[in-house]
Parts: sequence; C-alpha cells; structure tokens
Amino acid sequence: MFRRTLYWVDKVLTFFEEWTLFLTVLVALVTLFISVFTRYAMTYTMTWPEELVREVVMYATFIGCASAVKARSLIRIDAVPSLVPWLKKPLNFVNHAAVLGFALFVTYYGWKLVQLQLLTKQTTVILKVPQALLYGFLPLMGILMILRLVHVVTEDITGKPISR
Amino acid sequence: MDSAVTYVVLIFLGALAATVPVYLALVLTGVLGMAFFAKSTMPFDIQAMMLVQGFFKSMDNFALVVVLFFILCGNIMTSGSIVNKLIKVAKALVGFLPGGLGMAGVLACGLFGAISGSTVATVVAIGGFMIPALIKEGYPENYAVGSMTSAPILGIIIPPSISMILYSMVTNDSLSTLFMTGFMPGFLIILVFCAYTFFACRRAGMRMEAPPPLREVVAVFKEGFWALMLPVIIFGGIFSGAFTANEAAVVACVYAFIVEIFIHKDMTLAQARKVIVSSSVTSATLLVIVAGSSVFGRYLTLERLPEMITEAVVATVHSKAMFLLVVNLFLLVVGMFMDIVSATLILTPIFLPMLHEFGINSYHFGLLMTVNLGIGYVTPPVGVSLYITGAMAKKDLVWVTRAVLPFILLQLGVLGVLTYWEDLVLFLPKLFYPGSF
Repeated sequence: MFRRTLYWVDKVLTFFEEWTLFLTVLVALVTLFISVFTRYAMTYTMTWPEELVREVVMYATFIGCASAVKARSLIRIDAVPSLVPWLKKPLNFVNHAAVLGFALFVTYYGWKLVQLQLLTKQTTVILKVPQALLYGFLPLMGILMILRLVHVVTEDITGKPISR
Repeated sequence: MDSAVTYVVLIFLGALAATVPVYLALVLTGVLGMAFFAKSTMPFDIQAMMLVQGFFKSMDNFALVVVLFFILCGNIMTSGSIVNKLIKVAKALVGFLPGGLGMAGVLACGLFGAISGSTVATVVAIGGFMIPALIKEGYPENYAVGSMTSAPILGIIIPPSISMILYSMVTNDSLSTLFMTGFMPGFLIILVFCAYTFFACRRAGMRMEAPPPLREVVAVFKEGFWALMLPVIIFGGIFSGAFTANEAAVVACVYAFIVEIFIHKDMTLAQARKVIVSSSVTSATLLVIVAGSSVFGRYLTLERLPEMITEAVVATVHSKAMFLLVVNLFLLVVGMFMDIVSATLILTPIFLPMLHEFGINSYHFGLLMTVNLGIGYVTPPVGVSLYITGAMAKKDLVWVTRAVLPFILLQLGVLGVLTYWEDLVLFLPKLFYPGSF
C-alpha cells in the first residue's frame, strides 16, 4: 500500500516537474529569441523578456534541484566512498539527513519570506509579478524535496527500486 | 586564524567528505557559521531569513541564463546527429595520416568543445563513439581509452566554457575576453595530443594512407555544413559583438533545434522535450552551487577569511613565479577531489585578492584555473571522465588511470607552458579586447 502510494506520488510529481520545467524553459528560449530578433529586425528592444527569463531560471533551478534529489544527480564529492566502499551506505543516510534538514529549513524560512512579501505586497518591476509568488518557489522546493526524499529513503532501506 | 573559523572550515570539509551535496555543505556551514560562530548579536530567526533570502536572490541574475542555454545546446548536440557529422569532418581532415583516426578523435573533441561548454558532455558524445571505432581500427585499447578520456578537457578550455562563465561572474571580468583566452591553449593541447599520436602510431608501424579525393572531402563538408555553422554562429556572434554571450547561447539552441528537427530530421519533438527537461535539471545542479556559495560567501566575508589567507600567503610566498607554482600544485590536489564548478565557485573569491598582491592578470589566472581543474577530470579518485570511459570500455579505475597517465603528463606540460608564458594566453584577448586590460 505504502509503495503503491509512493509510486503514484512519484508519477504525479514527475509529470508536474517535467511539464513545468519544459514549458518554462521553452517559453524563456522563445521569448529571448524573439527579443534578439526584434532588436535586430526592428531595432526595438523589449525590456520584459529579461525579467521573465530571470524568473524562469529561478524556477528551473529550485524545482530542478528538487527533481535532482530523486535522480540522485546532485553534485557531490565521492572520494571517500570510492576509496572505502563499505562506507557508501551509511554515508547515503547522512546525506539524506542533510537534505531533510535543508528542506525543512528552506520550507519554514521560505514560507516566512512569502508571508513578509504578502504583507508588503511587493511586485517585480516590469511584469508586476507578486514577489510572494516568486518566493513561493522556496517552500515549494522544500516540500518537493521532502516528498522525493521519502521515495529515495524507502528505496535505500528496502534495496528495491519503486515501480509497479 | 581564530578557532571559530577553523571549526567552520573543518565542518565544511567534513560535510564534503561525507558526500553531502556540495551546495548543501555550503549552505549548512554558512548557516552554522552565522548562527553559532559569528560575532553577531542578531537573533537566529532574522539571520536565517536573510540567508534564505540571499540564497534566493543569488539566482535572480540574468548572467546565469547562459549556463542553462549552453548546457541545453550541448545536450541537443549529444542527442542528435551533429556529433556524428563533426567526427566525419575531422576524419576527412586528418584521417589519412599515421594515427589519423586517433587525431581525428582529438580534433573532434576540439570541434565539439567549440559548441559545448562541458567536458562530461564531450566525453559522452565523442568518447562513446570514438573508443569502439579506434579499437576496431586496431589501435591499442589503452591509447583509445586514454586519449578519449583526456582530450575532452578541450570541452571546457575551448569556449564556450561553463567554468569560465562562473569565474567571470565571481570576478566581474568580461566574459568575451575570458573566452578569448581559451583558443591558444586549446590549439596547443590539440597540437600536442596529435603530435603524440602521430609519433606513437608511426613507431607502432602505422603508415600514411592516400588522402581522400577532394570530391569526398567536399561531400563530407557539405553534409556537415549545418553542424559546422554552429561554432561559427557562437564565436562569430560573440566576438564580432553582434550577440552577447546570453544571446549567442539562445540563438545557438534555437539553431540546433531547427537543424536537428527539421533539416537532419534526427530528433522528434518528444526527444526535444526530454532534452530540455534533462538540461534544466543539469543546470539546476550547477546553479544551486552558485546559490549555496553565496550563503557561504556571506559568512566568509563577515569573518574576513579571504583577507586573512591572503595575508598569510603574502607573508610566506615572495615571488610571482613561486606563487603560481604553489597555486597550481594546490589546485591539482583540489581537482583530484572536487569538481571544477564547485572548486571555481569556492576558491575564486579566496584567490582574487592575492592576484592583485602578486600582479597576476585575472584573465590569465582564470584560464590557468580552468585548465588545471580540468585535469582533475582525469585524476583519481574523483575523475568523472575516468568513470565514464571506464564504464564504456568495461575497465576498472586502475586500468583507466594507467591508460590516461601519458596524457596527464602532456597536459601538465601544457599547463606549465601556459603558467609561465603569459603572452601566449593573453595575446589574442589583448588583440581583440584591448579595453579589458
């Protein structure tokens, strides 16, 4: 039952991450390309693509980073386990604990920052996107990380990948 | 150094050794340092909020876009057929010489490096194809694996280069000028590797073959035309001043997509989606280190650690030549354990004040750091390239390490030349961008 739930949670999260990452990055690529084009073809410089693209990079970094927890592709230094192989497993759990700590930290303080922004009602300069929404990436990242962590830790404890 | 800083640095190194992801090690030590060791009276809550805000704000930077799009560009290349066409072109150019296919492999790494900013992408793209091809042609296995593990260093030396992008972000140097420093060293490495291949293969009894007829060469170039235009767009765009680095990366991505999907017809839309998603995750794993180092950096600045280290170094090392030697040795050791992105982001702010003390040009140093840490891709125990080609050739770490040894020596020789012959590195950038000096 637990594994089944995890399987479906993973499905939903992967779908969410992949499609939002794809669409945001695609939109960034297309807008920047159009802005290069208009600068040359119509000697008209748009100001909003830069801001939009900056926001996309923030989204892609924070959400991509959560997605990397499951893919186990975060950059780390593997010197110790490659020299002392039996340490690999215990270190994995040290690792998970560190990620959990960070996820909780970023969720809690990220949420506090969101509340602060809601209070001051600040928006971005050009597109008038509420800052609260952008700061929302932080708690979102934290929560996604925790969910991904449950998945990875279960796999590590049982030694079996989660699939149907 | 006072004891608080020592503890924090030890915690940091401990976390790295315990395989905690690099960005997390940076954030955790930054937070711990601020909360428990720094001499500040601010309550923890406020401090933590400021650190998280700094973490967030550090990503709000237009210059980071270039990382995402150059990674994307390299990945489009790897999944489509552009790599294949580049290898064909390289083969047509030098394939008939003794050891021609080996040289073609090195040249292909150079061509690919002119499009991609990463060594790992180059190893995967070129090595995956060339190692079996070389072995099939009768080259010794250790040559095939050794050269195709080490030549991909060209990926980060020949611009665009991810580590140069990050270095210039830390130092506020002009990215185009820094890119310019990569060409001569790149050519030098190609030259040295090709010469080694030539003599090694001639001694092994390989002879020159008849060069391919001109018609065939023209046909290969025609087939590879769209692929070869890609570096032209990137360099032509950046160095003529038509594009900023950001714009060049974007245009290159759009161009590569159009070529692969509509002209070569080697990529489906579903594949295109996969490439975009995987590239954004890869770039996230790099950029989050930038965010982490901003948290750690805040603590370092508060404690004046870079200044303290500079004072200590200036007091013990007296000449520029000696300093460069010490730094090179230090970086080689760091490169054995740490990847180039983390090392560049963590160490550049510490070295920066020293460059000024010793009168070292920061573009020259950026290039040295890139080459030096690039060698770290092929040094055990943590040489990413070693593991990749090892898996390709089904060999263990010790075997691959022995195979790359002659190439590491060649690279070290080149590094020595680049270190002490500053003009070789700075000649092109001075010619094109006199304003940066």
